[in-house]
Amino acid sequence: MPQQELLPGTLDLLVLKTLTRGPLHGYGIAQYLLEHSGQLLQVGEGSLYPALQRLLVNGWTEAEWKLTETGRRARVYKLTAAGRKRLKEEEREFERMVGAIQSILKTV
Amino acid sequence: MNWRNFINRLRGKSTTFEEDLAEELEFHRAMTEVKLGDSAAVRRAIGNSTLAIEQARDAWAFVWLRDFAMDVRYGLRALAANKTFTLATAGALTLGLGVTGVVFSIFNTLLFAPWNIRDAGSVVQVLAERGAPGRYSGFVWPEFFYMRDNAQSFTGMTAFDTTGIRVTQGDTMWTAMANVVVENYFDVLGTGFALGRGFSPSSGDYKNPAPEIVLHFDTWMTRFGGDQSVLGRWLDLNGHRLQVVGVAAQGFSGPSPRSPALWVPAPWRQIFHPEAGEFNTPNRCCNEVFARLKPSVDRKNATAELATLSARYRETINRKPDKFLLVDPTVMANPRFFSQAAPILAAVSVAALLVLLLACANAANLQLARAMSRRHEIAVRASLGAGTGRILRQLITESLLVAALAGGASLLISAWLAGYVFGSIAGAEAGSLRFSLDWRVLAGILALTLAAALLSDLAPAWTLSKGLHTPTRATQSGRLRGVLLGVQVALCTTLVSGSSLLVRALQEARQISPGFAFEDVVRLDPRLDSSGANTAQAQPVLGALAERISAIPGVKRIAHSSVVPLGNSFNATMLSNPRTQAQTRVGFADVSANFHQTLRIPLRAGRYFETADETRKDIVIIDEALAKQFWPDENPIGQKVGEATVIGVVSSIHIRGLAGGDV
Repeated sequence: MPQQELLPGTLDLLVLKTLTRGPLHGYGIAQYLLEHSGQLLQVGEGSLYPALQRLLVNGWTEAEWKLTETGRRARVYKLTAAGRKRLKEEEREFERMVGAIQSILKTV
Repeated sequence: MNWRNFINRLRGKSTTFEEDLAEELEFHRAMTEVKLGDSAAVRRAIGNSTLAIEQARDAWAFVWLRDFAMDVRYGLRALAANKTFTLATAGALTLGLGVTGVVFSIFNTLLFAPWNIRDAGSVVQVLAERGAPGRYSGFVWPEFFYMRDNAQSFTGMTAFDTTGIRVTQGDTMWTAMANVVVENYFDVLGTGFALGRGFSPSSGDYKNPAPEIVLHFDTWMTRFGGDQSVLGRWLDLNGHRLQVVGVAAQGFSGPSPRSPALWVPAPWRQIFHPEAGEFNTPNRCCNEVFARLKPSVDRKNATAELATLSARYRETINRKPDKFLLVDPTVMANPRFFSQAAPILAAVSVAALLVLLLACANAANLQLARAMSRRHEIAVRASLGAGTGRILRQLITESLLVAALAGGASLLISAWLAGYVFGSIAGAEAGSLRFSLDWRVLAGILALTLAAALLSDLAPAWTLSKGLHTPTRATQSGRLRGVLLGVQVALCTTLVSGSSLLVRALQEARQISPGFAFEDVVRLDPRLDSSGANTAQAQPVLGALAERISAIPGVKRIAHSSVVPLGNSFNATMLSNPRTQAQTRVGFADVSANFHQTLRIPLRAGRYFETADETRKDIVIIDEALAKQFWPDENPIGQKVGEATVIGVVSSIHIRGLAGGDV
């Protein structure tokens, strides 16, 4: 399956959305995105981890080292209250954008 | 960037940031491997992990700041590695920046540094526009007194004028430049006294001014050895006895471009120089007026009040009122000084900027040569993923470092040299000006340094950005270096020819004949004028003096004159041109017989003066230029000039300067 480029600026939104289901580590987030996009969105670590740091630095997530089921240490990210607020904003923004694009695609 | 982001960035990454990130990525890699089971596929799937770490790091830091710090560190290493280049470039720039810095510092002092007077911020110099628009001077004395007694805008208004006097101190006599001042002078402007006090109110009394002297601090030191007992001592000034009542605080010269040796009350001026006549009349121009504004009054209102008062005063003497201008108490705020100095300052600054430009071209050429030799290093950085902008920034940082080095050095140079250079140009005139490094000089040199760095960086940066992704562009940069070299040569030629023209002009001036023999002539000034003697009293003294000098072996001839050619003095009168009836300004001198022979001024027609002529007032000798002007087609001998008859015509000489002359 050909890998799809993400629309610019949507990775943060997707990561925040994924974390609403509960705390998750980086690899888990990548897997979740892959599975729930019908294997379409494969996020490389080159963009995922910078994005995670970006969310941390803005205070939208918190991180904690935990042991996984396999017994390995993994950094687990959790949504903060500020992160939830941010997610709402980004969702609204995204819908506005998609709506705008669609209305153009339909009229022409 | 929101505030939490900002604070988190300021707090910085956690200390375990790198390890945490590496472990996290390793976990990711391991999990992917478990799933895909093929390391090549893993690499494809997860991409460049170094880049990931770099970018994750960037989320935390202010990238540009970190890059800048890195550039500086890298630049310092690169500069240290090539000391010859660094020193050569910094040296060239230091020269350019140093010269410009010195000039800038002098300008700064002239334009902005106020005179060393008390609370200069609220003091203004009051100028009156007189004669022609844009020609400013002080006031005539009676108008000043009227203003001082009636103006409400000022807490104090004072004035001074300058005169030369002869001071006799026991057996020694010296001439001094004195400021004659209104009695409130020190109250308005003074910075205190090293000794004693200022003038008493009665020193302003016109008929009978108190005989008081205030000494300049330097005079006290050099003439009286800083002796405390100078207070109360009586000195002889032009034959009048005055008493020292105070010594001004160290460094106080008043708002005067030349430091006076001492101050005396204004009315003494006409007692010292009775021959100059009454000075408190509307016909005698002019003094220098300074005033301290009341805090509640701005300059506009003060100017308006002065104009009103002037109109009222001028009505009484039937003249048109003056326009007034209030300016800061600095040298250049005075339009008179400004108009004199502006052309010189402009020429000097153009020359300094040319030198700076030359230095920049030089530095640019060096940078360019170095950039060529660093091509390899830069190619490596480019292939490691550094963008053009990043590399250019690196290069600019390096030249900024060199320029900073040069800027620092030139700051030291201008701090040390500006006072010295100005002192040697202006001599005593520099006396009351203090040179200091203030924020304007610092900012100016900083701006110049930045400009020089960028200027000297343009060419190399341009070449590099062109040549970054194409391996060899030697020909192009070769051409650029040629252009730079051309610029350098052109600037050099301009500067050298400019300076050689100046030297040449000086040589020419030395070769211009003044029109009289000066090689074996000695001039003596008995200073009879400053003793207060009139002509009748002076004649016998001069006669006796001449007789005694003639007796000295080796003296061939002696003559005296009221005006010394090229001696900075000049008498002039208006004569009516007999042909055109136009009024012409003509210089004249009262001379003894023998005068023309002594100076070997050739006779063109008629005869010289003889001893018998010395008491006659009805004959004159004129020069060729005047003869040509008045009687172009006639024999001037026997013609009338005013009341007098022309008995001789001599060749023209230069009286005032080497540029022109009369009688």
